[in-house]
Amino acid sequence: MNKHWRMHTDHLGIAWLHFDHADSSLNILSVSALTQLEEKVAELETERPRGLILLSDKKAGFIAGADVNRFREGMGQSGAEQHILQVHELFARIEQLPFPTLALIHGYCLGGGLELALSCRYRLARDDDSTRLGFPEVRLGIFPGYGGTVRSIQRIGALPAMKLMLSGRSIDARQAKKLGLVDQTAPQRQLLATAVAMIEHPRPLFTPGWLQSLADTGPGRALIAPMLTRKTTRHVRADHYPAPFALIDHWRKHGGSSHALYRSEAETVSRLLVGETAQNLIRVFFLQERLKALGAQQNFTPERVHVVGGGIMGGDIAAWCALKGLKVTLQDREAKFLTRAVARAHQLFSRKLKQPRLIRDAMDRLMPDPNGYGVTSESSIS
Amino acid sequence: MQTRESSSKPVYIVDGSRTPFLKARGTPGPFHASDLAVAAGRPLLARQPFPADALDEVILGCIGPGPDETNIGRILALRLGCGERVPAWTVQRNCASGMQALDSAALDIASGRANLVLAGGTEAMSHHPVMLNETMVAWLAEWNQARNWGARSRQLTRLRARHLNLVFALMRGLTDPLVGLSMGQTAEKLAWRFAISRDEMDRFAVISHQRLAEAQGASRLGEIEPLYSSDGQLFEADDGVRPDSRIDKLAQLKPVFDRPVGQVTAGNSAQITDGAALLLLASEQAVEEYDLPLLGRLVDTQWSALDPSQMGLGPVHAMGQLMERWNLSTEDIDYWEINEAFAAQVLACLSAWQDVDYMQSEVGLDRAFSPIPEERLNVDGGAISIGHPVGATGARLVLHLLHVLRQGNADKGIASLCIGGGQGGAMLLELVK
Repeated sequence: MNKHWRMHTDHLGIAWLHFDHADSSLNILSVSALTQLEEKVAELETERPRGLILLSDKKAGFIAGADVNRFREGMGQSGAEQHILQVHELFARIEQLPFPTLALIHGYCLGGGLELALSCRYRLARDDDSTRLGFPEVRLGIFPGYGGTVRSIQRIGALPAMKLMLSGRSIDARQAKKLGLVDQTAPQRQLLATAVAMIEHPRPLFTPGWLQSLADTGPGRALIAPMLTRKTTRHVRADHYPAPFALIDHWRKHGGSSHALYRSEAETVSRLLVGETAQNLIRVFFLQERLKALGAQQNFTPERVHVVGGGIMGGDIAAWCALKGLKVTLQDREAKFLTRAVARAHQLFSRKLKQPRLIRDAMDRLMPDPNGYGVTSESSIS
Repeated sequence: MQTRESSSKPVYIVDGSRTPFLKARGTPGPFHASDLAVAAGRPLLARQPFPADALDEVILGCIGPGPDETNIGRILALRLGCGERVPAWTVQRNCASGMQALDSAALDIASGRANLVLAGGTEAMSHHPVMLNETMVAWLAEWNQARNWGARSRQLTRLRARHLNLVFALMRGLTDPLVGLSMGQTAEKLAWRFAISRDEMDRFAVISHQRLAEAQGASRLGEIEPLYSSDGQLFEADDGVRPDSRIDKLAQLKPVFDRPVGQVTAGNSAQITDGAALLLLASEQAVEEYDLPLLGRLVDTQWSALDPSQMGLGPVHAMGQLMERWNLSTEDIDYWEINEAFAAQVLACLSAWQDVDYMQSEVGLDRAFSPIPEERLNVDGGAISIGHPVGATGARLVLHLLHVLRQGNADKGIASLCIGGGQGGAMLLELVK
């Protein structure tokens, strides 16, 4: 009995593989989930449907990543390497399925989840605010190990892929489409229809331009790798955070050859994983998760904030609150002390939100309030 | 006629705000019509004891909303955070759109359909569009049909200079399409009919500026909430005021409508302006439920109509019929606000008001009224100094009149305006003590 995956074939002959991890509100690639995925892949290999759509039944998103909990159970370097090689093999089998395959992405699609999505032929992302794609691995002191370094470079080119992996940042559906990380975006109302259309009318794969291909040649890497190192040095120290430097090194030495990259991924990531930095960062990760869980219990979800003081500090706190969706009143003695805060807020919203509609909404949430009308019932920051 | 009131519920005005009125200076100003209304409405709602979604509806008057502001009333309601479930609509009665919004709100409260309504007007005249003319639109349609270079070059040869004539919506809107006169020309007609001299008009304009300047100095315009532009500018006061205005300087201005011999100039006409004014109207039930303070009571409204080429006399018709219905005389009214579309037009109204012939033959009353004292009319200036953002003015007049009644510890007031197309509107307001 498969606890985590459910598959059915529709009237068009397309197989729909639903991921719904048992006993968890998020989908994670736990060992049992991966083992059971393998069963489904074996079925697909013999049944050969017209196409495959891989999707999540969780409201929160597609797949949040690998099972971080397992990384601190002392699996040992060789155990970790063994595990990675097994996942490499599984994802390669998905990649080689002889029919169109598509990852239907909504909400979180991070780390291992994104790596699984990248082993499908196509990726379709739901176009809304909740969709986030990225490789947060460097924050745990490692880098993508389920073939992510190989496939992200193949799909979107070496420079954008390296930047995405080095930063650990997540991007939204539109940015992902722009980079080529997903092939298509669609609003919720057209998501399933678009997925079916992409399987029924398969299009050639997105490939990075010639300039990007140039970046992944030997001379290209020799030129770009030191540049990336210099940039990374500005943010972190190599002796404290070895992962980003190991990633650059990994690419510089083995880029251009998938075979060598896969091997190096398994070796390097397993080595980093058992290292002190990764273990400490993983501990911090779980402490943060506990704090977040405690925070969730606290049930403090303000909708309105009143900020007193329109200087840089007060103004920026107010702007940040408005950016995050709170209704904010910002008070100072006179209207003239609030103009700079309004202008700075507009700059922040323009930078972060880009779309004029969203900028206007954020500006509407931030009310300069020289008379202190907002002070009556709010939780106040001064 | 007072029976008309007996079956309906009283309508209270509990609060109101407006933006400073910003003179249009050739280029589009920093705020769109909905931005102005949001700036007036946000602080107004923030100081209420009820949440924004407690409103039963939002009604906004506006003549020229922008292309992204269709049903600008609903846009205002959503931008103010009233939530998805507060209905909202937009009204248009030319220069009286803001007053129409108040009347529509009052009717819904009087009938018991609503308890709390946000109503008023907004106008960004500096943003009124400049459009392609219809021959150009037709030419463009054919251009889009042209499929090959031959057809396109043939189409290019058909382009004439007249295709490039632009349509200025603001100027067209200020011209009556039925009688073919611009609003300024209708004022020239009244000046001629009532023998109003250029000197009288300019004197009236100077007083308007002096009164506004004095009101600003004495902080009597507490209903104004500042405007903050996203590039860090602050607007705290009506910026069309000229405290140094003098008759001899105004006398040098050239007529703009009947050139070269007319008398109506930019100096003795209302200014083209951007601004918004909003009021909060409430039923007795809402006043009790939220323990709301009372600014005043909206007693009654009258709409009247007349010859479009003499639209400036609209207030005489509307105020006359309102006074007749309530059996009032000039002395019963403590303060008056008559919109200063043109100095000539207000002066013509003051003449006709005391003219039995006019009242009998054109308004249909058998009496005239005693003169309206100058010191009780537009006491803190009017549209000549403040500006006339057409959709907003009606709401500004009512809001400021309530403040004047309060400051003067008075009882009754009438706010009135003339309406392009040949109408007049008047509202009777009463202080609640």
